Amino acid sequence: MYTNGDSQPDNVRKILKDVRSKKVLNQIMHMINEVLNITETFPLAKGQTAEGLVATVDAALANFLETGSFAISKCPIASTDKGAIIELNEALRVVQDSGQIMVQTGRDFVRDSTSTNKRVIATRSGEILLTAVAKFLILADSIDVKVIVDKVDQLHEAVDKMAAAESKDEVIEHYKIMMSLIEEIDITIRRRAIDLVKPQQRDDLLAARSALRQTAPLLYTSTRTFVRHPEHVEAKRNQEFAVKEMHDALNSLESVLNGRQPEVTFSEYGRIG
Amino acid sequence: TSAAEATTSLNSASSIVELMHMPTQQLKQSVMDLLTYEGSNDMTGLSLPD
Repeated sequence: MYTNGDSQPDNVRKILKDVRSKKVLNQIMHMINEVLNITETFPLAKGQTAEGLVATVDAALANFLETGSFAISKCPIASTDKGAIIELNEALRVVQDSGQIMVQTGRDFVRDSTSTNKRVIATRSGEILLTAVAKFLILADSIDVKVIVDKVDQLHEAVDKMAAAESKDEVIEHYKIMMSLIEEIDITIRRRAIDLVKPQQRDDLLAARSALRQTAPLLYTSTRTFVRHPEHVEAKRNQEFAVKEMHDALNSLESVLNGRQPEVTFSEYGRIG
Repeated sequence: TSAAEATTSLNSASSIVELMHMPTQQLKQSVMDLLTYEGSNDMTGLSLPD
């Protein structure tokens, strides 16, 4: 037990409240709780050596760092948001530093495994290392969201380009681009929705997603009609309505993804069934 | 952005959290295996420091 009356230290509780994804939250809770609540110890299994346990940590750490660097380099916002990449690299460096201390204190411990003091120091290193891992995952989670939000921004632009189209061919071309962006974001959103910690956010995300899909054909038809009959006020009005609905749905998506209350809360007003 | 580009990037989109899932599990498990090591008085299997 800690001074806050909880089974987790303050710094862990602080970082946990930033997690938006259920999967990440579960993974982190499980990880931190396990290392904080070690009650049993076990003899070596057949074929295991005490030094081997340390070597396994060393190898797992190297693998984590390598995969982490790879994931950062492949991150779609690497070229647009340098700040986020610097933050991720910094979080990974903290994992590296605390990992090296873990390996060192772990080695001291297995060489003198009857020393309570060395066990305590190694356990503390383990807590620090896994907390650093948790912080990295939380940051990665928020950057994964940024990647989706970038896509939402592209969709806003696509909707505006569609609305500004002046010929039938332009309408068709922009519609294709818009639909492929919607398809792309759709998969991510459905995956993300399952993962969200708050059920209301999940409803809003899914409702905004379906609003987007339902309004897109309306935008297409109304824009084509307007291009053919620019003199008709009704045609313009229909198109403006569809454009506004698309932007509203996109704004709602973006708000939920960023953990904010959307202005149009589909789930509360039942706009979409 | 063209429609073709937008479709291509769809397949490569694996989130950082997804990529880190297995390495995180392995690191956590290896740390737990080390920290739950019961210990032994038998020093024969260890390479001792100089």
